[in-house]
This record gives sequence, structure tokens and C-alpha cells, in this order.
Amino acid sequence: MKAMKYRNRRWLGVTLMAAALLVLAPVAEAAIDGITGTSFEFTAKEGYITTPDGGSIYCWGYSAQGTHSAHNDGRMQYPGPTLILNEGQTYTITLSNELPVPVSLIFPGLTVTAASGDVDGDITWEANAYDAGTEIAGTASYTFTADAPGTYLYHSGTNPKVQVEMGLLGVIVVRPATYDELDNRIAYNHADTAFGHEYLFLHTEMDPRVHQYYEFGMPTGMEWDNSDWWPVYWFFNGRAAPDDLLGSHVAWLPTQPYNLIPRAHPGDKVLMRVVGGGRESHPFHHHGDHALVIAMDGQLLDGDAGTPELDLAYQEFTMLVNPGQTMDAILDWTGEKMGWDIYGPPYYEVDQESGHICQDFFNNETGAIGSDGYADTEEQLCDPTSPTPCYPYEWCEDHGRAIPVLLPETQNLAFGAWWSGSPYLGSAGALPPGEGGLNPNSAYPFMWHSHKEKELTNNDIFPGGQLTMFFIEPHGVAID
Amino acid sequence: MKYSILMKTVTRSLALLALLVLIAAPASAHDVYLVAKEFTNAAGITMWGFAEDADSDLTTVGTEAPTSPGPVIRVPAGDTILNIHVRNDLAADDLSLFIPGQSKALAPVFVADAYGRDRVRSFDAVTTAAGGTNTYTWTGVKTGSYIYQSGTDVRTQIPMGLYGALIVDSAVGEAYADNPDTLFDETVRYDNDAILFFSEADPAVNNAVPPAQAGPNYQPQHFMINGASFPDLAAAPIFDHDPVAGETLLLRFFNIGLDDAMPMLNGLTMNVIAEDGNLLPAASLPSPPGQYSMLLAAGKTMDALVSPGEGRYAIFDRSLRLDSGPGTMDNGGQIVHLVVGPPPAKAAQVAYDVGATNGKGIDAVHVD
Repeated sequence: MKAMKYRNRRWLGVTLMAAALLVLAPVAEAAIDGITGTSFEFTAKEGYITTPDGGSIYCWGYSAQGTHSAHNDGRMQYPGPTLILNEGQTYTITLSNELPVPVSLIFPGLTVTAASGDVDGDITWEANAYDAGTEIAGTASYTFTADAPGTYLYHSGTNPKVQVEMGLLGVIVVRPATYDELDNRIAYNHADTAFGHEYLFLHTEMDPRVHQYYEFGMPTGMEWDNSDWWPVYWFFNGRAAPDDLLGSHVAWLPTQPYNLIPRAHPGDKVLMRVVGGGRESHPFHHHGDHALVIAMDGQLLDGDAGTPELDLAYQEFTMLVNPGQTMDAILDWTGEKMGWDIYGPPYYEVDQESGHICQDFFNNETGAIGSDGYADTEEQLCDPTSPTPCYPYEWCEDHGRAIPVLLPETQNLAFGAWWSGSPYLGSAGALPPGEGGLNPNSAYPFMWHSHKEKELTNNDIFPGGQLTMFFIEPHGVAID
Repeated sequence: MKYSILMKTVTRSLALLALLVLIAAPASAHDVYLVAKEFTNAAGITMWGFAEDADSDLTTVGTEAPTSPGPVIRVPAGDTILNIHVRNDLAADDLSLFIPGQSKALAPVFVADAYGRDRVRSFDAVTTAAGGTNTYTWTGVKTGSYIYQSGTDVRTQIPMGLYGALIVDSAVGEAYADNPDTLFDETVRYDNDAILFFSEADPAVNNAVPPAQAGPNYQPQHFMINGASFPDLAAAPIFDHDPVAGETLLLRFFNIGLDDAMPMLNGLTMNVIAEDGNLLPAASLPSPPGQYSMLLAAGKTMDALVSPGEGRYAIFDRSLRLDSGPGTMDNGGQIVHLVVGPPPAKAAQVAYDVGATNGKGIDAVHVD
């Protein structure tokens, strides 16, 4: 009984701390942030984004006024609004151009059924440059069908070597016709694409000299010399780290509404929608687990609609994100074969008899009776809230094993802000004053980043760039 | 035995029989006559290129106009031997002919460096400068899309432009034959094909006298498809014939540049079926996933199938190397258009003999 009290007190403390931090911090959203509708009014505008090193970069971007972000207030945004669309429906985007150059929109992988504008350009119809004298904005319109579910991107089809760099791009997510947020979260029309949480990883980069060149008026008749293009900022969803770890839609980043804080419980299926928006390839390295790549360019990696398996899907732990391409992958971290009990061994829970159990009566995926090595799911009555808790997807072989490391004395440790004080999931430990604090739920954090390590900087200042943290949260912590 | 497998076995046996008949006949050779020359391209860059030899015997110095990439070499279906006869009209540089992906016994040329170590200067025997001639022979030629190039001092001679496309079909209108060792039918047939040869040039290398080697400061500024930068009208796919709606079009991508390219099709998706002249597993699947873009790494060839409807589709490098020189305004560089006409009326339908050559070993482009 004494031990029980102790454990409850420990949990109570963690919960209070978590609650306090969640009140202070904006709630991270697990669903992909974007706008819905059947027609959209885009305006191409000038604006500024900020970088974590204090930089302010002149950009061109799309905005969808009044529909999206409380703090955006009609400004351009980087990236442009993420469109969440439905399979089979037809959509129209009207584009108004307030930029000093012509602009347009293309939708690789989707079928444009009608395009119109001021001029038929090299790649698509374009809106004329804004005429400051008459105050007339150029216009164009695009109608396309969301033929098939998947992850797509849109960007300017006008002088893209300049305009994509300047920020004129965004992402389109097409939901399967049978998708349902509560009952049927699927990425494609295939049962193996079911997921619990989804996150967007839009990779872009910038060379600020290009932006200064256009901000201060380019010499007549010359574009930036692209053979001298040398990006020094790298972004996830339009923000360089650590800004991507802030809340979405924060007031002080009005032109960069999207954040990126991937979170999941052990065993949850995480859908990663990975998009190469810029000009470079980025090896996206997701620490913690392999991911199954299920689609590329919005097409399911299935060579035969009649076979039950995604026969062309493949596992990797570093996804090469190529310019203009999209990839979808599913990751489910369980801590399998780590060699220790991620929830702590029995003595850690003080009372061996009342420690957590690893109940494995069923195959978690098929529901068949019999062990599959993992603790059962909550539906299979593995209850993380029970007095004798069972944590779904615990790797039972390691149940009860202590971490095979003798932790040094506190005075011999250097602390990271994500260290909870304990090596065990959901358990906080004593920390010296001022240490820790970014991990209120005692999650397991993993760095997810570009493996071109120089891309982990903001104009030569480490850390930054294409970097975020993936949090494995203890069961019971609400994610969405 | 399942009926389909039985039938496949029967077909295979018949094919084997046919093959034996072929083997009994002498293997036929395809002879190509090329000359290498220096020229200045439309952008004012010094290039080295190949031209088809005017009299097909290399004996006289003709008035051939070299291009880079050089002429498209198509080995007629059934020919298993390729002879490339070369005359080198470059002033001072020996060269050789080399085809990554096609087997040949090589005779590398070494030079001793300052420390007395042997360094490879040429992957194969050279054709000497200032009028030297040589013949390079490949036996057992393999089907697919390949790049032929100089194999000598490649850090100079590839940036200078000594390369071209080599196409070997398994039959007329058939890029790849079925592999009898696999269960699925992998035969790749097409009605029309388009050559998209990506290259680049750095004037600091090419315009140096003598030409420099591509080194750490290599910075290409001109990006080309089929030797020209948009909006030059020569920046266009090389079709067998003008595409019409409803055709199966085989896109043959080549990248001789030192950087990767990322061809993107606006408004179309393609099925990538081969890489480096090798069929990909997806080629045999009933419904392979499409792509609107692909990684075309430096030195690679990729083949993809599309069936476009009538329309005009831009194909451009999505790594956005859309430059025809430093700071050129608007779109340039690696962008071309695929213009697809209406389907022909029944009466006007023509039977194209895709893959035909001009009788001198060089690709014949139809003007029907």
C-alpha cells in the first residue's frame, strides 16, 4: 500500500507539471494544419519571415486571406496554406497577384482541368505583375480534380528557379473518399495505410542573398546568378529549428503559421508526409525506428491492386527527399529489442507485486489468440490506467529489465532540456534547479533531422535548420 | 502446371527454337562512323562533339557538323555486334569510345605520375589527335538506353561534350524483351519514343585554352536538354515522330551532367520502367505506381512510359537549373515541351517503324 501511494504521488507530480506546461505552451496539434473548402482565393504577396538567429528575410508567398490564421492578418505565409482536400472532388483556386513579377500555380500529380489567366506562360497560365500605377493586380484561375488520395505540392510555375526560392509553394493533402477522422484514418485506399497520427515534413532551403537581391531591386535584365546559389537556412514547414518546436500560429511568427512537433505513444502508427519543396535533396533521418515508405509522388507503392500487401513498400531510416517529390511513410515505435524495460523494472516501481504487467494474449495486428511479443492493445484489455497497469506494445521479452547502464551521480551529468531525470518512459526524476523543463510528460525524445549535418544550422549557427524532436509519449498522455 | 505457365513454357520453347535459328545465322554487326571535332555552340561555348562521318569510311576530312550530344546511335533489333569507327579531328587530345553498361574487353592507357605510379588516363585504347582513326567493337550488345562517351581524360572530355545516346531495342517497337526466367511478362512495347538528354556546361572549363578539367570550382551555368537551353527551339525532345494522343510514348532520359537532375512532368505521370538499361521490378507489375518526377542521377539513363492525351506539357528540371547562363531572365536551361497532337483519324493512321536508322547506323527521325 505504501508503494502504491508512492507511485501515485510520482504520477501526480508529473501530471501536475505536465498540466502546468500545457497551459503555458500552445497545444501541439497532431493533425496536419491546413484549410478546407471547395474554392480558395489566393493572393501572392511580399512579406518577411524570421529565422531563429534574428534574421528577417524578404519573401514572396501565397495567402488565403481570412480563412486560416488569427495572427496572419492577410499577410503572405511561408509555406502557402496547406490544402486539405477530398478524393474525387473538384477545386478552384483564383489567384490575385500583388507581386512585382508575374506568378502562377502548378499542381504536379493532379489533373488541372481548366486554367486561365493574363498570359499563357512557359509552364501554365500566369497572372500579370501588379501594376502600381493603375493599382491593378494580375489574376489567374486554376481548376483541378483531386483524382487520387495522397500528398502533393503546389508551387509557382512562373520562373520557378526564382519564385520557389522566394517562397511561392505549399502542400496539398488529398484524403481518401472513405477517410474519417474518428473511425477510418487512412492515407490511401488500402488498409495497410491506416495511421493514428500524421505530420507534415516540408523541406525547403534559402539563400538570403537571393532575397536581398529582389528586395532591393534587381539590376534590369538580370536574375540572381544561380551558379552562385548557396543556401544557409533550412526549414521544416517554413520554420528553421528551434522555431518549428514552438506552437502553431504563434503571434510573433505571423507569416510562418506551421510548426512541427511529432508525437506518438509506443505502437501508434505515425504517418509522415514528407515533401521536397526546395531545390536540394535532403536525407531526412528519423531516429528511433525504421519507417515503411508506402507512397511516392502521391501514388501508393503497390504494383498490383489485387494483392493484399503493399508489394513495393520498403523500410528505411533515412528518406532521400528529392526536390519536387513527395513520400509518405509509416513509423510505429515500440522500443522493441532495446534491451531494457522502457517503463522501468519492478524494483524501480518499489513494489514488485504491484508493478506493471506485460500481458500478451493476442496478436495486436490480427487479433488472433497467441503471443506476438508485444503487450496487447487497449481494445485487447491491456489497460494503462489499471492499478496494475499494462502498457500496449511493450516488448515483453525486455519486461522487468533495468537499463543496462549505471547512471553517474548527478554532479557528473550534463543535462539537456529534454532529459526528464529518469531513463524510463513516463517517469520523472530529480533534476538540479534550472535543468530540464521541455519534456513535461517524461517522453522519450528523438531528434529527427536532415542528415546533411550542415543543414542543422541557421546561417552557420548550430543548432537549427531542418531539425525537430519526435516525442514518444507515455500511454495516457493525450495527443489529439 | 497452370495454363498460363504452361503457355509461357511453350512460348519460351518456341522462342528458344527461334533463337537457335538466329544463332545458327552469323551475328550481324552494326557499323557507325563518327568524327570528333571542336565547335562553338549557340551560347558561344567551346564544345567538342561527334558528327556522323560524311562518307562512312573515315578516309577524308569532311565538312561534318559536330553536335553535343552527338548523333543518336540506334542498334537495329537483332544486331548483336556494334562497331564504332572513329576519326579524331581534335587538334591535340587523344580520345576513346566508352559505353557504361555494355561489356567490352578494354585496353586502358596508363601514365606515370610524378611519383612513378601508374594512373589511368584512358579507359580504353585511344584514337590519336589530329586525324587518328580507330574502331571500338562491342559484342553481345545488351538492350536498353545507354550513354556513349569518351573514356579518356573524362574530367575534361565529358564537360567538353564528347557523348551521345545509344539505343538498343529488342525488336521493332519493343524496348525490352520478356525475361524468360521471370513469371511475369516484362515486354516493353512502345509506339513512339522521345530522347531527353540532360547536360550542362561551365564556360570557365570549356572556354579555357587548353580546356580545363572539372575541379572543385566547377560551376556549370548553362543547362541543356538535347544540347540546347530553353527558349532555343532546339531544346526539344527528339521524337521518332510527332506525338499523337493515345500513343504509348517511351521517354528516354539521359544525364551526362556532373550534378543530379530531377525531371518533372507537369500534368502527366509516368511509369519508370528501366534504369541504366536494366528493367526495374515495377515494369512487370499489373499496375505500377506512377511518378511525376524522378531522380536522374549524374551519368544515369532512365526509361519511362507515358500515354499523354492531346495537349502541351512542360518537362523541366525540378532542381530548377533553369538557366541559360549566369543571371538570364525568366525561364531557360532545362525545360522542354511535350506537344501531343490529336489522335489521327482512322484513314490517316500510319504505321511507324520506330527505331529505324538511316542506313548509316544513325537514328532516323521520321518527318511523317
